[in-house]
Amino acid sequence: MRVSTIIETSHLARTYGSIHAVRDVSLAINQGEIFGLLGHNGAGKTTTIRMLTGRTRPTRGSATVAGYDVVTAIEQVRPLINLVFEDANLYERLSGWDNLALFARLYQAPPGRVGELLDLVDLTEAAKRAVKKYSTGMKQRLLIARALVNSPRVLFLDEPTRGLDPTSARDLRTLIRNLAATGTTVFLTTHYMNEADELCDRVAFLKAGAIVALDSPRELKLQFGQQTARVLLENRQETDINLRSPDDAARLREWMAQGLVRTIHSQEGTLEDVFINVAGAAE
Amino acid sequence: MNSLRHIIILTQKDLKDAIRDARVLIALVVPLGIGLFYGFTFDDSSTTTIRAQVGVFTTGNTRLIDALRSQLPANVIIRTRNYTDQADLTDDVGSGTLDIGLVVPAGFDRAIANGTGPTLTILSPPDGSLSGDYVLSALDPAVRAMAGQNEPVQFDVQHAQRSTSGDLATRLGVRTWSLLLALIMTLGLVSILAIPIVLVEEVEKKTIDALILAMNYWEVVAAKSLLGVIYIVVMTTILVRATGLTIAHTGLFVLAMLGTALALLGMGLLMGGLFKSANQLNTWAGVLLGPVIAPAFIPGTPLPQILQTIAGLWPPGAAMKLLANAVSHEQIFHDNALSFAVLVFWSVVIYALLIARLNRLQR
Repeated sequence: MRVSTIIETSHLARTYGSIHAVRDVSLAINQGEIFGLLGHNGAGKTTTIRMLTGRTRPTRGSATVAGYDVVTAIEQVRPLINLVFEDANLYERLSGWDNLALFARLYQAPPGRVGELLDLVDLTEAAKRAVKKYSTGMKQRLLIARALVNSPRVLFLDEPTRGLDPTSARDLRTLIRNLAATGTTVFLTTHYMNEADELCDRVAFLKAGAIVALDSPRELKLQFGQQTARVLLENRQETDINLRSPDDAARLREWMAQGLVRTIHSQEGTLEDVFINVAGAAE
Repeated sequence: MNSLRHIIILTQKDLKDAIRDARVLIALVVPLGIGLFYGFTFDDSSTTTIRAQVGVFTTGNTRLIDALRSQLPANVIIRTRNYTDQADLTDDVGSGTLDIGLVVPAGFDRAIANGTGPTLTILSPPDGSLSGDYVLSALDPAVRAMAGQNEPVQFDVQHAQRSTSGDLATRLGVRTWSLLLALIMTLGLVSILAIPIVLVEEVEKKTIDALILAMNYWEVVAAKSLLGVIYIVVMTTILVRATGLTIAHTGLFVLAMLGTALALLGMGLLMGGLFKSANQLNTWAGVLLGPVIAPAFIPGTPLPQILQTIAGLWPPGAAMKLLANAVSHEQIFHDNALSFAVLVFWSVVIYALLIARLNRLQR
């Protein structure tokens, strides 16, 4: 299968006075990929998204979406992208329908698109109700529908499941996976490492505005996680053994021969471990 | 073309959405209410219509009422009610239902013509009646006319022109002057309060972030300006129509309103950028509105000339001078060109600052 790059950045940087919000971000994201940008608050995730969506000009470096420069060809980029914001920035006095209809008209979406999207996010029955009467989950679903109004090739999601209950968050993750399956590239930021692990094909960790690790969650976990197993003995004593240590292997064999082992749990790394390893403490 | 489409779409959204915001609604309704109040409270006309209810008891025919009507000025309108019982007529005059009662004897007209001096009984209400007094004063010339006598004196009543040395309120009439102030208040409240609230709310609720994925900042600002112009046109039309404000020079009036709207809307949109929330703006707008609107009260008042000049160099002061000329048949202020230059100057300065600010935002 031919893989094409849809987002490409080269040494992207943005400063505000003496503050370096983003120092150096170089990425190449493929069509249909779910890509996660992770890092502490203030690491530069939102500024990176702002630059990629043409809302902030880079101070240095360049970025393209579908081959169009996000500074010089933003008019060509706009129809190809959309963004699910961290905040529920909806017109609260208007109905869900009116919110979508406004953007459908701005993007010149085909007739019927609003109803189609309301169906997709299961808001058809609440369509005529003022958004201020919606629950947090309903608002989040409406934000997703709004971001899909122009059938974007790249969908940016900034903390999409923040504040959602587990069921709504799971539904949203399913929706994101389905979008990616249809060829939409998903670029998301999240603080939930298990979410990134579950969803993303690749993740990048940002630290102080620069990428410090970039790979698939599995590779990163292998690279930065612990290679240990936790052994619970019959006497309720718990011991961690190093899977690479010949001494620990011999100890484990001996315990097993004596019938002392109750359970063994692998202690493979989590993305959270990777985060702590590579991103360190918040600045 | 695409920009115009974006601007119209966003304005249509705002027309539906913003009016549901109580702060915006109040900014629109308050000057309208004040204008309507002044419009119906004050009266600039030199003659007031006077209506008199006249009861007539007679057993024959008489031309007295026709003769009365011909002697009364045009602004005095009489309505007659005929009685067949003199006691009923007396009761109605006594209760104040009628302004005057006339008991006309049989053969009254013939008796006048013969010069026999018939008696005409006049019933007056216990507390008197101004309208009845008008009728009473017209009775003598009416019966003289019926008798074929000439008036001893012919009165020629002429209305003098308003003094050109009085203050603006006197020269225009308090009602007209107040209505012009209400129009300038409309301009001020829409520009300095309603429209900035709509814009600041977009920023505060971050809906502008979603908009600028699909359009430019300047298109958003242009849409808000268009919304302001629509509000001003609608409110002005309602106020002018409802109060019957007479406009002598329509072109001058429209240009003055649009020119002032342009300058003040730019000022409001620029000011909106200073506030973080619509509520904060709503609180401070009351303080800011004073200096913005107050100069409109100064032109044509007995205040020192230096204050008049300074007021005329500020958009609402210039607007008042232009609007006063627009509603008056005489040219009260002789510097229309300067007043328009003031509006153009401020518009250029304000929009240059606004564009500079938008360019910074776009980066």
